[in-house]
Amino acid sequence: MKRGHRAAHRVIWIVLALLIAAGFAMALVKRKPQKKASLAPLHEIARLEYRP
Amino acid sequence: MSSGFQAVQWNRAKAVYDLVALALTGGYIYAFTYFTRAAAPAGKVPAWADLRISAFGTAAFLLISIILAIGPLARLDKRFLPLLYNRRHLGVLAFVVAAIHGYSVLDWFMIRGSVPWIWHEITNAKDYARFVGFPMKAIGLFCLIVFFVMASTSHDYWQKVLSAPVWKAIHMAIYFAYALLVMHVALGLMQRDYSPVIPVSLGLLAGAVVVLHIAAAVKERRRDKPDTMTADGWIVAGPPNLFADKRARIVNAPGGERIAVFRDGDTFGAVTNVCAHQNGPLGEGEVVDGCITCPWHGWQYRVTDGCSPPPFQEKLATYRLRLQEGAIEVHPEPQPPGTLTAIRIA
Repeated sequence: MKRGHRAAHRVIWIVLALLIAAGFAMALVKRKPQKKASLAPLHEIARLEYRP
Repeated sequence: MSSGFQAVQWNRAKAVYDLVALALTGGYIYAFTYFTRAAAPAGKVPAWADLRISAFGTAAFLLISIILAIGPLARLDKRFLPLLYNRRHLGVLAFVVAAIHGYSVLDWFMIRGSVPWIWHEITNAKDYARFVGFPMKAIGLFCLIVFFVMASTSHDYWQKVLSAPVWKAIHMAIYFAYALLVMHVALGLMQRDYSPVIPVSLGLLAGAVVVLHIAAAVKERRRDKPDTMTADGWIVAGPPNLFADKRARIVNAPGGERIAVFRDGDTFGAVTNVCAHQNGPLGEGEVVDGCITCPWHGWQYRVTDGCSPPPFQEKLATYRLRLQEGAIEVHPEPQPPGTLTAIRIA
């Protein structure tokens, strides 16, 4: 790998590590309470929410 | 290499690699569906359409995580190099598995007559302002498009047409696609399924990929320290007896580029450390039949002048060498590719 490529790799992976950690943590924290989320299976939610 | 075009140059190693990859992927999908059905309580056994989505989705995520882990693993431990050799085949397989996952989702909605809902979800502008509720299918579709572009340009033909830097830039999109893929799972399956297996396995896999890349970057950073230079601007590579036969010592030129100084018996030659194929680290390869052999994909160049053996036409920049006060020294200025610069030390 060339020097620029190595430097780009270092920066990209540090940024990605922060983004992935933040996104994953937020997705866990903001998860709806279990009962509310599992009221209906996915296809029922699809039918209920879809308005042509 | 460039002597002529052949769609795929098969050899035994490639066939074994592909067969093992196919068998492991097929085995995973079979095991996933079998054990998920076996573990489900009576009367709640998931339908095949649901299982197919999960089985192919998790297989695609696993494959892409493995593909991304191979690079840093090979940088950290040479025993992983054989996995790197045909990594592109694994990439194409991952795209096919991800495409089947995508088709399975579409099929699921088709069976239920709810296909327009997918379009509604992807085009509903309001949802793009939400975090939980963000259209995860749009993220998945975007990732699939990225994987398609990468899989369809994975052949050496496209590398030649696009040029190595452009090809490399396109294929680095996998890093961003992977981050989006993590969010596709975190905002999709993880929001609906409360099994602890999902966040734990997602966190462990993504965490392992990130940690491996950072560990490899730290190792590379340590190697970037400048080498000792003489007053007249030559880099000291070390006494000849410190060079293992058929191997190289890597030195750093003042600009930060690396030079690989190879020993082949009593012949010493210096070339750029960057392979003409995919920028592989030539200095970590070995000399086979008088040719430096790239550890990534086996491209070869003569130690003496950096030229690929006939009928191939690739040439590397070479560097002048001298023996001064019992040590091999390299001049950091690159010579035109293919220049004979090797020296012989009795």
